[in-house]
Amino acid sequence: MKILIADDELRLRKVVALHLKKAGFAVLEAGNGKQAMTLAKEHKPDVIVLDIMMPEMDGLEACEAIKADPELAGIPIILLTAMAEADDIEKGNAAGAEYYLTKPFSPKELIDKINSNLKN
Amino acid sequence: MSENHRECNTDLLLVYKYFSHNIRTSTSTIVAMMEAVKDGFDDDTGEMMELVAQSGFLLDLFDRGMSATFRYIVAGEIEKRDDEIEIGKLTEHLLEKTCVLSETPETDLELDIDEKFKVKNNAYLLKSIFLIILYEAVKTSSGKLEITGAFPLLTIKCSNGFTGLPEIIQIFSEMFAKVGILLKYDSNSISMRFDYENLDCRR
Repeated sequence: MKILIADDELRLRKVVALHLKKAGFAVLEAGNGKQAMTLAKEHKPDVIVLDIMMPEMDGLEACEAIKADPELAGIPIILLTAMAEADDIEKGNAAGAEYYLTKPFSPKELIDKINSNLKN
Repeated sequence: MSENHRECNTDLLLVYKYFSHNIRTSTSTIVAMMEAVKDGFDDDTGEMMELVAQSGFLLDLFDRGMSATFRYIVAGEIEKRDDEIEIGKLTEHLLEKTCVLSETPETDLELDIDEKFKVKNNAYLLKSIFLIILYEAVKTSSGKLEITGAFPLLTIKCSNGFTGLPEIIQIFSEMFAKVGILLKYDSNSISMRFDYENLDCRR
């Protein structure tokens, strides 16, 4: 099972990737939404985890672009948000994200969300 | 609600979003690192603890930056101070404390700052906002990164450009202008000119 994680903070990406690998997933990493799109097209991951605030192309834009691509539209997307505000959730819904995780989060919460997405 | 209030609220929301995001991201990193160490995931606990320390440094940096920015937006002014600051040492401090050059592994850094490049300014402001700008520049750079400086100018140039600087940089630029620092930025460079001729401490 392949998970694509996009976050511009290298330290967070590195440690989350470590947790995901230990949980048995193959991990792809991107530093912004544009890189996430490229990797998604190339590798067709099983789940995509996107931070919202990223340079160049943010998580919401990347989510919209992925959901607009017929080859990628079926991949579940988990958005990492800094704020659990209605505004962010509405924007995420409009962009087509399936789930949210509010920062700060524990890697265990993320792995639970990924597993529940894969079961569905 | 007046136009000034609306503008102030918009700025506050922008500032809150930026700092909240970064503080929560650093907190997530610390939580995830501690869980990895607790679960015995990594052979190199020393490296993990170093990354925890870096995230702690960033937490403190963003907390101080948020405090300075909120104070500026609410009060409309920044205190003029004559603290002596060595720009080269301050820059090296950030690079040492964060230790991550860029998202792009092939980025290489050329650092050349005159050791006599000292300014008299508000140290709290420079030790927070200046370092945040530098952190963002380094984080979003790709290709060769050159940081050069000699009084009165510090320049950060990136051969392939910055992949994106945060929207809040405009507010930082406004804050710097109040203490005589002219901040200019585009997709390939950021410059800071320490110009005491055009000081204006009103917002």
